[in-house]
Amino acid sequence: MEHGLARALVTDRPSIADDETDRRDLGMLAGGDPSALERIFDRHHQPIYRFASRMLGDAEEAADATQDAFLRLAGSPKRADRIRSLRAWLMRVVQNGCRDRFRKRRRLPWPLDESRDEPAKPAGAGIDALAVRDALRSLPVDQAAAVVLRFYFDYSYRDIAEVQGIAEGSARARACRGLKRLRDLLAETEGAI
Amino acid sequence: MTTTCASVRNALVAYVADCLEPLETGRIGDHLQVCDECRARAAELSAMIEAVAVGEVPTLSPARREMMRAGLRVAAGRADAVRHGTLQVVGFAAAVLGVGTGVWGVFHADWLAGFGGPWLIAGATGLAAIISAGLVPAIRRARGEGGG
Repeated sequence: MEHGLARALVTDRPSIADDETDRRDLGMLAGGDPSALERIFDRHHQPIYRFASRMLGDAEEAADATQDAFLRLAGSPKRADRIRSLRAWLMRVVQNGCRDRFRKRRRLPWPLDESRDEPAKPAGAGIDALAVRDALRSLPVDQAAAVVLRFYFDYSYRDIAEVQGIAEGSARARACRGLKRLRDLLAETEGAI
Repeated sequence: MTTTCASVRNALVAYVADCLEPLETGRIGDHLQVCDECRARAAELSAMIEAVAVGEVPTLSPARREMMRAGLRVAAGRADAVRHGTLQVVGFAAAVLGVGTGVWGVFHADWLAGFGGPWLIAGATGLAAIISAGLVPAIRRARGEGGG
């Protein structure tokens, strides 16, 4: 269904499927060639960083989460050979990293000073885009990730299922539950929806 | 099935999230064409989804990117060193096992004779030699001396 949304500003829609280059570099990494890791980083760091950034809402934390994902790959190159889809694997690591970071944030005695470079602006129908993205961070991580992957990255539910390691139907259900909760949160805070 | 505003609103999130069966999607689409109030609610939901998608596209600064690449280089080098070290330890252990078995066999030749001693020693030493020899290319690769 096409509902005419001004979809993600991500112009290079990232594909979840590994291409030949990914497979070759993963093989080389598993075989002990460290330069393969830099090539993998060069190809994948931007979408991974955007995902982390949209999930965490903090540039520095997002950069750290991105680095952690690639470091995890560097730390056990033998694992590389068993990775089915590199992009999905990296995103799953970032998603898990976000869960840990949210947990730490909740333990902080003071609120995190999130960088807000952009002014609040309505996304349409009088909805404040920043408020929506803030509310997104109150969702359970797997639901927030499903919403971001679907509506920011424009991934299919099959791709989301691959990232989250679940069935396609469960990915649909997660995105739906996430949106419902998002709507309820916004309704609570603003009475917007 | 009768399409009421209540049933449509229950399914609106699933509708805008493209999670419904085609038949159900059609039913809700038909209703939205004739019901202003439900259409307005759907528009609000669409605006919410749009808010997830709009905004700055964050990009890593070149300085931070270079820092991360450098970090990865160090981490990859460390992993490589660990791999190299592990291979060397296993190779050395195999060699010690082979030599040790040989020396032990010399001093226990009589006892071993009952168990086919010379063959046992030859087998153990040979196995250790094969393991050590098999590790040489891997060690060379880990040190970056051999081909990929």
